[in-house]
Amino acid sequence: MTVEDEIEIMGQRLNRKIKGLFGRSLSIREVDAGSCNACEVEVNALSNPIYDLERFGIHIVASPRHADMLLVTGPVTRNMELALLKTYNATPEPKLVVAMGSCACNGGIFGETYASSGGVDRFMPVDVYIPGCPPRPQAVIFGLMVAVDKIEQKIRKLEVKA
Amino acid sequence: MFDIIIKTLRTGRVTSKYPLKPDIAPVGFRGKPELIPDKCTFCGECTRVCPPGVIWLTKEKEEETLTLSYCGCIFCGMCEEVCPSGAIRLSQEYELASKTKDDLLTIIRRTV
Amino acid sequence: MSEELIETIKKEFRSDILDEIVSNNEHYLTVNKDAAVHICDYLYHTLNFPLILIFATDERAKERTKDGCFKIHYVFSCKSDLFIIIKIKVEEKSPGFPTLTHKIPAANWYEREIQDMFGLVPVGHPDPRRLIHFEDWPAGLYPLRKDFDIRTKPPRVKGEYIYRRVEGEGVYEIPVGPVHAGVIEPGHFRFSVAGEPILNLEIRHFYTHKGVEKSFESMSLDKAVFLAERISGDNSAAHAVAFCQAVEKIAGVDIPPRAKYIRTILLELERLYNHFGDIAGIATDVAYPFGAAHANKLKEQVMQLNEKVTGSRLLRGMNAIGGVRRDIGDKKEMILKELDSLQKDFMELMELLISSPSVADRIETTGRISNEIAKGLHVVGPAGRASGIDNDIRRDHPYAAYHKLDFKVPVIKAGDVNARTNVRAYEVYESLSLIKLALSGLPGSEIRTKIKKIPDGCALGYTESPRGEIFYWVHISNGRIERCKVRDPSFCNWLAIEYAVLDNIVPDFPIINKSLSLSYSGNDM
Repeated sequence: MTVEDEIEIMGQRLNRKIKGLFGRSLSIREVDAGSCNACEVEVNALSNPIYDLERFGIHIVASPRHADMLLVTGPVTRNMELALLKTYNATPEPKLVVAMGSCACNGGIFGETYASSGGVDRFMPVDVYIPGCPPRPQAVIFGLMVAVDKIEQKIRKLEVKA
Repeated sequence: MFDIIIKTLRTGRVTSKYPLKPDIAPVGFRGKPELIPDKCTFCGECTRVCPPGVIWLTKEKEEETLTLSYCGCIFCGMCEEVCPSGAIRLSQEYELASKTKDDLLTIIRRTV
Repeated sequence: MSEELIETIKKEFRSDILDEIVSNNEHYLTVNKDAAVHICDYLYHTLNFPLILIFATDERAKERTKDGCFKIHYVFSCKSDLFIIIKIKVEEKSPGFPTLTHKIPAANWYEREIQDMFGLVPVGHPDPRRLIHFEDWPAGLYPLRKDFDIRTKPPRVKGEYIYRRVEGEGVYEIPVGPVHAGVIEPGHFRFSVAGEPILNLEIRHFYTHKGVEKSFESMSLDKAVFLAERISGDNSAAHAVAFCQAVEKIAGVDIPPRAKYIRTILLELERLYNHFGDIAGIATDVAYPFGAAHANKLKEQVMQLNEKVTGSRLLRGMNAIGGVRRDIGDKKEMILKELDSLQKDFMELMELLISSPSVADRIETTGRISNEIAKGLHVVGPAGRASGIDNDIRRDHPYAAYHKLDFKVPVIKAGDVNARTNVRAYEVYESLSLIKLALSGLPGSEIRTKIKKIPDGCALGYTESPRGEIFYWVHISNGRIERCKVRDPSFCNWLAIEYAVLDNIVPDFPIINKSLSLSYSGNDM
């Protein structure tokens, strides 16, 4: 069996799993909590004909009240804190929160300053972290699949004794 | 109208098959930084140049620990650039999404 | 030419000029505080030099022995590659300085920014409300003062922000944002409308204010390049190059020619994907999904090319102080091949877009910015060039390899969405040809100079980003950043949108917004 065959089989298995678990669609509300707009560029890229997120039944919706998931980018600035919390409260339960990009995960290069709070998880429980600055669209798709349990996460904590 | 149909047909299908088929990032892509424990000398050069400060070195009695968190990493490759012993390398791996922050840690220890 | 010019100014204001410093193409004149408005007015109205930047510095500690004080700098761009910087001193005890906004409308936001960040008061400013801080920010705290610790977390206090009100029969308000319906950055828009036409729009920004200028001051120079890249994500390369150029100018280093060419290629690749993205956005907003899909496909092609060439879809991590970090010479064939295919596709797309009556109907005469308004507010980039402002840093103050490459700057007078689309389309062709020229003339040399020690000093760095001119003013002292002032083109262009939407209907607002292509993060920082 060649590598291509293996990949093909893996793909088919994955496809079945996705179809099986994707009985319903997923609605995402994207919230920019102070990102540099690189993450927005990549989220917008998800709707282009190359990645076409809609083919998985994933929609980016206009209101948090229609959403199952909040996709948060940016380090959460002082001025966006309230808007983010209001958006979170407006999203119906059960809801998922995905922190996209390094700033949303941990503050990234902006860190903690008088105006930046250093991560989404200081304000709300985060279900999935997607590192990357910005994560490429495939990494975001992967993260979304992990969030809805369609794909196993690959990365595990590594502890080695040198 | 006719032009639009012709252009559409000529363009054909452009949608990528990911995630049904893996998509390998191009050579030179700055993905997950990987530590090579055998080569690391715990000199701490990488901790000094890391812009978001997600690599840190701690010392406790007789044990030195180098921790790298992908959470907050901006994938700039400065650590790879300055490492004198080639113990850190940016791979093409990008599927890093994780449910816990803990899984995003890589830790290497040594006894002094 | 430039000597004569300085002589003329000195003759005119001999008694008011206190001090004069020349470094590279920057001429600093320290003047009497009271004479500043008069001199700026003379430079702006008589000599016709645009005001490109106003910023303050906190030099209280440095001159404690003499007269510790704040300084305000007014930067004017002259023809013949010269910048005139007028400096005034403002004492902490009497923090007022005369406002320039009545004479030069472009000074408006700069002065309010100085008020918020330094606590200096523009006396007589027509709109003295807060700009960057929200109503819950406590009074008397000014982040860019040296005695403010970056990690301070000021408490939230009670306060109110008062919007301009339009009153009359049938007038109502539509508040929009900060969380928008689309995937865009946060900002608040308040429309006053009567029926569909917009009577007034007030924008309120700075939701994404992250304290970047303060962060620069606690960062080493090498790390600061990465922070500059993250001021406005889709202009990463332009910001990084502008910052690096400022530092290289202070160090007095001429980077290797190959690095200059590579930077030029990166900047043009960035222009390409941004312009494709903007055209896609306009097509989306006029409900022409066919055009949007194709333009988005082109954008994605450039971004994938970026990833193959530089390892980052947004051209990040390529620039460093002293040159570039990666050579792209071996990717030449691949880039050329891709450019040919892009050119062909783009020509076909534009033909379809222009010939579509439904598109023309929405974009012609929509969101007009008159030349007068554009000049008064100093609207930059494609938006300015679509309103008849012949201004392009690449040509007027050449940097990187632009003085060696041949290109044209399109200028259209109409000032509507159509004009802005056409300017971008024209610039796409110019960028394609610029990249080809740069690739064919790529000189063989090193790609990075090692800089051992950077002397104390200050300098301007600038690039023409896809949105317009980016300026950095960097002051280095003891190898560390003492002050880094960043001006993104959006900081100038945001004010223009309040005028562009007047008498347009609310459904046309997204198109106007998209055609101006404004960055929120670059504006708020």
